[in-house]
Amino acid sequence: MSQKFEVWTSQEGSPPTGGQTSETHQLLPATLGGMLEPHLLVEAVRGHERQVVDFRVLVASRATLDYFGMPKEEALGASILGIQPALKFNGLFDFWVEALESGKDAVVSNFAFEGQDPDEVRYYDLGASRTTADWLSVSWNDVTERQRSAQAVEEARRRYQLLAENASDVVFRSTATGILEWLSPSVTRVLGWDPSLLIGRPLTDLSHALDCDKLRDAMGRLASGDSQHVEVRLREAGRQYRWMDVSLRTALDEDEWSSVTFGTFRDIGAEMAVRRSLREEQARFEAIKESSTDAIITIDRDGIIVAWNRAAIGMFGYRVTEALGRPHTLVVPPDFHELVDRWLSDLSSPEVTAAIQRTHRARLTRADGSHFLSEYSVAVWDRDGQQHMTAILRDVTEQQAVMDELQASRWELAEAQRLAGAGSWTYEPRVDEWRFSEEFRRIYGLSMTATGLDQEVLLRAASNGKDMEAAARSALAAGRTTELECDVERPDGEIRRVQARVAPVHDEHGEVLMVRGTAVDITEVHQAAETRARRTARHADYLSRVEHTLRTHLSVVEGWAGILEGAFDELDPATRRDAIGAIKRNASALVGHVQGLMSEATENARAENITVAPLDVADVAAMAAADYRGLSGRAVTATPSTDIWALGSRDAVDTVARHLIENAVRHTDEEGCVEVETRAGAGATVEIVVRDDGPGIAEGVTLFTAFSKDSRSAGHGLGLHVVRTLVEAMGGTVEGRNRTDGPGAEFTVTLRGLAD
Amino acid sequence: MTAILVVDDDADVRSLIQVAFQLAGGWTVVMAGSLAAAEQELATGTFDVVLTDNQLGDGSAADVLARAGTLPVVVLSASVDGPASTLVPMTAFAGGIAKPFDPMTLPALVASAIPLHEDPPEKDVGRP
Repeated sequence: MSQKFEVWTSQEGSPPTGGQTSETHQLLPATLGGMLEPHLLVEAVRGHERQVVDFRVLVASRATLDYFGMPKEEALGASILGIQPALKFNGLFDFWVEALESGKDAVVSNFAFEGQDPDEVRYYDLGASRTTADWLSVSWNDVTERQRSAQAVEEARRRYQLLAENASDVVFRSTATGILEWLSPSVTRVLGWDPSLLIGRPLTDLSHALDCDKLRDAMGRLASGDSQHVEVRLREAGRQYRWMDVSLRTALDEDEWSSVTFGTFRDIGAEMAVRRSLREEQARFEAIKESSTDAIITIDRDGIIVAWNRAAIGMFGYRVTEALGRPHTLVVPPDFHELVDRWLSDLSSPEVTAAIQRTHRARLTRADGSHFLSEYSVAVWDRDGQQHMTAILRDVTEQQAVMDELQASRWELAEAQRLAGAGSWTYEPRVDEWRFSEEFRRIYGLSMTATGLDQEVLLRAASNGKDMEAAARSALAAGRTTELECDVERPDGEIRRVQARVAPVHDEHGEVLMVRGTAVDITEVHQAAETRARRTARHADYLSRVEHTLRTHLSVVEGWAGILEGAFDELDPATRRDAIGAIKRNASALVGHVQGLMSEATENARAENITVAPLDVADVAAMAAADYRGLSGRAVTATPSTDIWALGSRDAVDTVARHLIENAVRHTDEEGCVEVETRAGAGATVEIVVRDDGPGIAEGVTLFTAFSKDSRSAGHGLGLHVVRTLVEAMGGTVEGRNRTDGPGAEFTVTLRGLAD
Repeated sequence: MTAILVVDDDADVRSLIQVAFQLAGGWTVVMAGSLAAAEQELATGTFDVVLTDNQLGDGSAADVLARAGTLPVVVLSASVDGPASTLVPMTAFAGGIAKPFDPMTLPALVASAIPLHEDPPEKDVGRP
């Protein structure tokens, strides 16, 4: 839009004074009127005493008329105080008068002028100069926007200063060459310096000698226009150095001709310490990783191998360059691919958490195709928000071989213990832990799968556990070794005889580390010894009775023979006959006893070598009974005749049955009856019962003892002795008593059945 | 007369001993065929000495010794080693005679076991 220029002059204005030419008169209004800025040419209106009391508008530029908001016809010749009464109060009127009266050009900048809107203050640069004696050329320029910009800049500067002075970081300004011009007071807090001591000194004076070049380089790069960051050590007032992050940027100075550098430095000592710690940790990890004999392999969330240490090279045979960047399938066996992919899909899953908490074993494959057994654990960790999984693997092929060997040794030991019937146990007081070998558990009847067995269980299992407890206490307290023999009652009630040894195990200081015990199951040996002892005692008793019986008979024979020889005449004939009768009876008894002894000796020898096997004892007993049926003339019955089985020796059972039947027949008259019954007994036993209906067993008679015969009997008392010897040799028992269902005696042989 | 109680469960032996003491003279002989019979005789009779077999049907010489109090008891032993060592310390034990014995010298041997006798036999006499 084009600007229209007009010149308005006052027709009523006085001509210029001072001899100015009309040309000048015309030029001035034309010039003023053509100016783009507001200008006025005013003429002083003087009072009685020639003092200026007002000004009258002579010429007004268009901008002025716009400013006054009136047409030129109205403005020209008008009183300036009439148009702008405020001039009188804001000092501008006096300013104009001064300019007029002094004749000097007057200038005022940023004059605040309250316009028609009282809430709006605008700013002007004003100029006034006298053109003639009473003419004054006035111009003004609205600099409100400029003034407000300056105020905003000042405000920003004040705020920046306030911020800089109160910031934790140190803010500074330097020349382009790095000479410090200003520093925020925080430099005192951060480095201990008084800012005034640093101003005028190059920034590099603060820098550590080793960091000066770094700082200079950064300052040199400022010319590119980019801000620079550099980490350097700056000196404290106390001559210590602190790591600082220095930021630099360049800007034009206020004069807009030269450049200055603004910058900050921030204490990064703690950050550097953390970084150093991280670096050290990383270095340590790397050192461990590389020196570890375990393979350490890390994969990222995508299953790509991102770490592969020296041991992994040795273990798998892949070089670092061959492994890094490859998928985990390089080393993970095919059977585990799906599992590992599932883990990687959610490394926070319970499945992964559970997997982290234990070790695993897998058969892995080397680069050359060979296999090895590996034990490994996994860990999940986070770096820069990225999750990784690390596996630590160990080749346990040899370890497994050793473990297998150990297991085999343990098995052999257990087998040896089983064969020897020798169990063992240990007790560690420090951890209050008992350990029992498999055989020990068997001997004591403890569960093979039970864990956490304690002394209480042990003592409950042992009928005389106090002995064992005393031995253990003695070993613990006094370091004494105890050997003992005791009966152990199993939970099922079976009694086992145990030979035990309890001994302390000392450490190098002589302190008792643990108590170790052995328990040898000597039940069978003990039973055999007891049987031997009983047999020995019985044999001694038997010999004593044999000797007594034989000597008694011999005494009678020799005694009467001696009396007959020495005092024959002093004896009456009846006594002589009695003497001869006694000699005959006792001589005959001697012969019978000798025959019985020979028979008994044969049975004893048989009993020593007896072996038992499943035997139909009903059949054997029935056959023996059948033999006596025809011989004795007495009624001899046998039930059943077959099919009741027990452990026994056919010859021994036959002999036993015949002795008992013969004994029964001997005590039964010719009308009597002898019953032979074979039946199942209590528990897994079989009984052979032989009954007669004779006079029964006389009071005071000791059965089954040699030469302890019933005086009413014609026997020698050896038959029942043989019965007991043979029955016991077969692991059975025999007893005799009078019948309760009638007259007569009843002998019962109990043999082991075939329950199992 | 010296009163003797003879305890033996064998009738032939009892008869032999009775004849032997009768032939010797000076003895009053009472016979008992069992421990029970001996206990009854000891409770009712008065004896200077007891002669008992080592093994009785219902007991033994130890039982007789236990019931004899201070009365001297001579034991007839069938063992070549003499009476069992458990009998010797017993108060009543006066001596032992091994079977077979000589009936003609038996009364003198028994008499020597009586303390009032001028020449009392030593304990644990053993064989005659």
